[in-house]
Amino acid sequence: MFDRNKDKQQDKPETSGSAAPAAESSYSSAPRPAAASSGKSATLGATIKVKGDISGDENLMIEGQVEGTVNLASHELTVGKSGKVHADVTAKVIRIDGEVHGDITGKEKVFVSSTSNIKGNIITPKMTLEEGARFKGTIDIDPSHANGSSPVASLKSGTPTDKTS
Amino acid sequence: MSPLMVLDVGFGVHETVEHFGNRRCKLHFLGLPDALRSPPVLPSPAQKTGKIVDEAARQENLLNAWRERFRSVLDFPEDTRFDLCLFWDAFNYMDDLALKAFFEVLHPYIRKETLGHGLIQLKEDKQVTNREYGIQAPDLLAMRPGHHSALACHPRPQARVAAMLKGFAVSHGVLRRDGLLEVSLKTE
Repeated sequence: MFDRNKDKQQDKPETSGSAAPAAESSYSSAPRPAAASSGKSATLGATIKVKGDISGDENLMIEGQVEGTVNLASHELTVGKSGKVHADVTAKVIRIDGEVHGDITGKEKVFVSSTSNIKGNIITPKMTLEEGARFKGTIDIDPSHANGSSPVASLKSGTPTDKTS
Repeated sequence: MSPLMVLDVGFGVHETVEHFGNRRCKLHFLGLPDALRSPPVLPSPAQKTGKIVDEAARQENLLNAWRERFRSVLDFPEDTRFDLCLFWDAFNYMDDLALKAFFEVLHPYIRKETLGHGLIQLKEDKQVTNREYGIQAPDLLAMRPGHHSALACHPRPQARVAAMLKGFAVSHGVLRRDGLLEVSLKTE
C-alpha cells in the first residue's frame, strides 16, 4: 500500500518540486543527438527517404523517413523530431524524439522523449522516459544485459503498442 | 531469473519506468483510457420495431462486446503471468459490465501470488478524476492531471466493485484524504 500522506500531486509535470531533481538528472543523462556527439556521424536529412536496411560503424541521426531495418550495434542512433522510422531498430544507444513504428533494441540505453511517437516494443538494459512522455506498450528491461543481445521475438506476439505524448 | 511482470493499466510515465528500471522486469502499459473512450454500442430497442426486447440478452451482448474489446487490449502471450497489477483509478471509468468483462479477460494472466493496487471512487467528485499515476517510490505515488477527461465516471461502494474483480480480493483498504479508497488486492 502506498502511503497516502506522501502522495504528490503535480498540476504540471514540468513544474519543480521533489520530482524535479530526478527529472533533471534523467534528462541530463539522456544521450545527446548522434550528430552532435564526437567522432564519425552521419545525418539522414529531413527530405531523404530510404527503403531498405541501414547498418554502419558510425553514429546516425535520422530526420528523414526510413522503411526497413536500422542496425548500428556499436553506435548511437537518434531519431530526430521530424524523423519517421518504420523499421526494427538496433543500436548501442538510442534516442527517440520522432516517430518509430517497430521494435527498438538498445544494447546500452534507450531514451524516449516527450515528442516521440512509438508503436513497438522496447528492449534495453537501461530505459529513460522523459518527464511529460506517455508510453503505451511493453518495455523489457534487463540491467544485467548491458551490451548483450535480447531477443525481440519473445515480445513480438505481445501487446500491440503505441505511445502518445 | 524470470523478470518481474508488471501490468500498468495506464500510460507509462517516467517515475514508474525509473522506479522499476534497475531490475529485470517487463513493464506492460495498457493505456486503457484509449480503449474506454468509445464504449461498444448495440442497436437501441427502438430500432427493433415489432420485436420483444429481451433486456437480459441485450446486457449479455454488451458484456460480450466489452470482452471482445478487452481481448484485443490484453493481447499477451499465453504464458504471461503478472506479479503485480497496477489498476490505479481505472475501476472508476468502467461501468459494471465493462469492469466485469475486463477482469474476466485478465483472469488467465494472473497467478495465485499476483498482487494488485487500485483506487476506488465511492462518490461523485470531479476533483479526483482524470488523473495519471505513477510510482515515485515504494511508499510514494506520483499524480498529475490526465488526458482522459471525457471518460464517464462510475462511483460505487467497495463491495460492489470487489464483487466484479474476478480472481482478486481486497486485502487492505485505506480511505484517503481526497475521498478515494486505496485498496491492496491479492488473488483469491
